[in-house]
Amino acid sequence: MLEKIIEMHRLGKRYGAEGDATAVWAVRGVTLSIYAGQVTVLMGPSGSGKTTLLSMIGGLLSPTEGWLSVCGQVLNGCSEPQREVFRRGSAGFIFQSCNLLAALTAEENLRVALSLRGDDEGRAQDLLKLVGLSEKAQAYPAELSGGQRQRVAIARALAGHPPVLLADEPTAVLDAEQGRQVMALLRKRAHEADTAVVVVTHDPRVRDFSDRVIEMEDGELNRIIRRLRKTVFPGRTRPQPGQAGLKHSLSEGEVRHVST
Amino acid sequence: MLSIGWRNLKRDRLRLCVAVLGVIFAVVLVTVELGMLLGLVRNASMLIDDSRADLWVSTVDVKTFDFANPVEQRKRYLIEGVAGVERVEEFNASFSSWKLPSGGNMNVQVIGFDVRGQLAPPLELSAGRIEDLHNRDAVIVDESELSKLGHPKIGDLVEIIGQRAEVVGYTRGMRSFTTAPFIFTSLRRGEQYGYLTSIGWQSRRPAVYFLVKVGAGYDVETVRRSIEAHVSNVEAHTRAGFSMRTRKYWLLETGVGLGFLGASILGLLVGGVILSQSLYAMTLEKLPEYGVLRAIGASMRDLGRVVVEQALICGVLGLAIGIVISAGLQAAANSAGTAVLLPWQLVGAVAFVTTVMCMLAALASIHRLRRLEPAMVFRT
Repeated sequence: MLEKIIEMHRLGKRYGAEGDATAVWAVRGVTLSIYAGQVTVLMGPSGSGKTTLLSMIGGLLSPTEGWLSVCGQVLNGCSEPQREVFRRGSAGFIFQSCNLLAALTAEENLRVALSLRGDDEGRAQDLLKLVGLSEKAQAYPAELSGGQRQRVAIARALAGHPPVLLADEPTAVLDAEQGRQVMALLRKRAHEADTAVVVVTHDPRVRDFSDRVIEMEDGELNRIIRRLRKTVFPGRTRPQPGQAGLKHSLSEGEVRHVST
Repeated sequence: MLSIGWRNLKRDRLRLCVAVLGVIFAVVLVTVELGMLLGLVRNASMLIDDSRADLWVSTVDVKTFDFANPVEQRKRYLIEGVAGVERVEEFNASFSSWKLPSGGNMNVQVIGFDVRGQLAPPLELSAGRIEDLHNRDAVIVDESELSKLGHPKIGDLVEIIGQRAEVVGYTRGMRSFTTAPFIFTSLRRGEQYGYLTSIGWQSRRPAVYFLVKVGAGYDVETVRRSIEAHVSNVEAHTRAGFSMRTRKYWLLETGVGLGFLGASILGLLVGGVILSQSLYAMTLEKLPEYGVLRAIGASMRDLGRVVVEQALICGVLGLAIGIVISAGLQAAANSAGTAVLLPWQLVGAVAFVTTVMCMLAALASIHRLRRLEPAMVFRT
């Protein structure tokens, strides 16, 4: 049985004050569960609420309504210091433009993250090895290719062993080969370390590395697609193909249509 | 955690230079202004501070050493009769006029003292001997004031309010607060050369001050009060009290202190704004990086620490360079005859003020970071 690591019920985020005519619901009425050990891809047109949903899952934004639990911690109504503690311990972030600290080497970038997360700074080398960049430890971000920078960013996100990895357009600025390498790395992490990887993307190639694709439109869930894994991992229950996507705020139990 | 602030500064050297220049500007301006002020203040009360008298007796309501009035000579005997008074000496200070070789006149301050006495401030001589003041018409001038006095050489004859005088020596570092150079001479010559003591007082031989030595075992303050109680129309001051009164007069009543202080504050403001702007620009440029740090769990305190670290690094660099420059300027000023003092207390105070300035300069950046939404990392 897959472990539900992220759960949300009728989750919504409004920008602007209640009653304000200019207020906008970026996400509304989303009920969804996300599982450990899977790569879940959020897709949809610009403005569909993917990044807002990702930000709420990562504790970067507070939900306006509904209920959200990540790694057993309910994030509704959390104060900023509480969300800080949550982010430090439970979520790793990967950004479109990597956002590595330009003044620090690859290794130092990792040491900062390890230090913030209370992890052993000596693990920086291990993380670099994990993403295949041991030899670039002393390189500054400007001296790395886009793909290498993104791999360092992934290594940074892995600091402290977070059970949830959240990636926003991780392949957007990469060429096809680098994009494949990055997604392969994320999928490997999800499957081998039982990490829940949530990827927001417009890139259709990312589908090939996903276990589940969730499509959003106008702030609501549009369709959930489960994909068959090519590889069976021992001791894990594989998600069953042949289930469905559905218009408007689908939950797992409401799936009507299947696509693989 | 790694020193992100220092690494950011190292990478952005142009901004580092601008920020450090801002601090240097503030440090040099504050240090030199206050150093000059201390030099002036020291000059203002130097003769009092260096004297070995426990008490200075003057006419009542004297506001500063430089502007005193003559005290009748007979008061000396009354003072000597007060219990606890061990020794009394006269001390004259009076403005006068020095005839320049060009035919013009230079205002001077004639200081007449008992050359054989024990209570007057000792003269630090760079040329001549103190005993030469026993010679007829002998005067000693400060070497830093020679240009004002027409470059008199030792042995030259000069004229002070129409009377002959002979330069017999030079002092070093004994400049008055006023622009009128000190002319040191014997008590009797001083009476003749000074405006105050020479006009209409010959018959009664006035003194401007009486210097008093209090006997062993007597309380200086008690003796001071006794003198005021037993001798009419005089005021007795402790050395420290008279020194403070003189300094206060020049600093507060003339506005000189406020002027120097104002310039120092202006320097701090300008330096602080330059530093603040440099830090702010650096912070704005690094906002996405700060956002990432927030996203991965850094607290506001962690981010604030980075900015404060940058501000303090700029402060330490600026302070170190600024103090070295100030010391150079001090040496140059002193050799040019302008007293600039840099005691360790001033350096410590400047270091403290610089630290406060740096912390305040960091506030604008910290305020900006407080408004930083961690979610912005997904939009950059």
